[in-house]
Amino acid sequence: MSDRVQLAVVGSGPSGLGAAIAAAAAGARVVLFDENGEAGGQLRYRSRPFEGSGSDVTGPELAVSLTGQAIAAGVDIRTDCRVWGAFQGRALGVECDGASIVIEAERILFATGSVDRSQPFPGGSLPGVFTARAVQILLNVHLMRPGRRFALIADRPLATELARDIELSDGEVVITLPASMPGVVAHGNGGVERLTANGSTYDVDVIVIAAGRLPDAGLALMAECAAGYSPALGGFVPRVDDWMETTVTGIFAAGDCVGACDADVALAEGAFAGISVAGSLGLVRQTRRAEARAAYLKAAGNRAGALSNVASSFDQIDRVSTGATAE
Amino acid sequence: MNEPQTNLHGAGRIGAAVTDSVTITFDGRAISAVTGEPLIAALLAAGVRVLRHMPRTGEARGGYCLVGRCSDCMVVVSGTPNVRACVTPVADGMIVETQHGLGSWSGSPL
Repeated sequence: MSDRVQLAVVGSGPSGLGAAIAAAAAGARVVLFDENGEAGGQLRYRSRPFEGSGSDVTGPELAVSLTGQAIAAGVDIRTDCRVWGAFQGRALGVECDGASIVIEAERILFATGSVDRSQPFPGGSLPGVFTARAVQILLNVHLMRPGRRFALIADRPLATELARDIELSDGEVVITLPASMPGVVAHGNGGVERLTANGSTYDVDVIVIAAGRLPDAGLALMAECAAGYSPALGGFVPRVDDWMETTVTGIFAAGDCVGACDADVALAEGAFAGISVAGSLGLVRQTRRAEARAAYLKAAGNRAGALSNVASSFDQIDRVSTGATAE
Repeated sequence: MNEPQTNLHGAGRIGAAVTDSVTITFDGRAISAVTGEPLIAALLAAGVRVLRHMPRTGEARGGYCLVGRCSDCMVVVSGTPNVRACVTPVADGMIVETQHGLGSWSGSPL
C-alpha cells in the first residue's frame, strides 16, 4: 500500500461499504480499513437487521454481498487493520500486521460506527452481564452460548431479534424487560445467578443489555472535527453539512458515528457520502451529487433534519492551554 | 493455580462438533479452542466466567462489550498482562492466566 491514498474509508459496516462502493464506482481510488478480521461491521452478527422494514435478508448475507460489490468496484479492503490516530493534513495512523504506518489521504470518510451504550445498575458489572452486541457476536459469529437462561433488557424490534438468536442457540429467554429497566438488580457470586425486578426474582445465567448505541466518533474528534451533543442521535457527534462533510475540509463522516441509525439508513447515507466525496474530487458532476442527495433524503426520513440540528454548544474542542489556572 | 471454574450456568458451543482445534491453557488447565476464534469464546465455552479481578475492590469481571472497548476481559497471556480476550485470536500453546489487579510486566523488556 502506498502511503498516499485518494480516499481512505475507516470502518466497513453498511455506511463504510456503501461509501466505498459508490466512490469507487464513480472512479475514486479507495482503501477501506477495518479493525476486524472480516468486513461488514454490525452486519456480521445481526440476524435480522431490517426487522420491521419488510426485508428478511440477514446481516451476514448483506455483508457478503456488499463486500463482493466493493471488491468488484476495485476497493482495496484492508481488514485486521486498526486506524489508531488522525492528524493534521488528513493523515491517519494505521497498524497492520504489527507494524504502524502513517498514510496521507486526499479525502477521509469516517464510518467508525458505534458501541453499545452501557447502562449502569446494581450488579451490572458481574460476569454474565453483556451488551446486546456482545451476545450476538458470541451466538452468531462464534457459535458460543455464554449461558443457558437469559434475561433480555431490550425493546422491540431488537428484543425480538435477540430472542430468536437465543432460541436458535438452544438457550431460553426467561424474562424480557423494557430497556428503561426500572429497578433491575443482578445478583450472584462470581457471576450472574439471579435478577430481581418489580418484586419478582428470576434465575438467569446471562443478562443482555440493549440500551441503545453510542456513536464512536473518537477519530473524527481527534481530527478536530467540530462536534455537538444530540440526544436524538445518541450522544456527542461530529457535525456534518448537507454533503456529509465535517467542519474539516476533505473529511467526511456517515453512519452510526454521526448518529445511531438503522442499517438501511446507514447504507443509503454511506452511498450518498461516497458520491459526495467523488464530487468533491471532481469525479462526478454536481447534478449527480444533487441526485444522490435527493435519493438519500428519501431513504433517511427525518434524519437529515436531526443531523443539521446538532447543537453547536461544543463547536470547538478546546486545547488545554498552558499556564491556565484552576478555579 | 486457581480451582477450575464450574459451568453450572450452561455455557457451551452451539451446533456441530469442533473439528479444527488448538489447545491453550487457562490457569494451568488445558482448554480446547477453535482455530481463529477469540480467547474469550474458548474460555466461555469451557465454563470460565471470571477473567480478571479489579485492582482495588477485587471484584470479578468477565467480558462485557466483546468489541475491544470496555477492558472487562483483560487477561495475562504468556506473561503479558492487559491482553483483551475478546479481540485476541487463540494460538496453539497459548498460556493464559486470570489477571489480578493491574498485572505486572515482570517477563517483559518494559
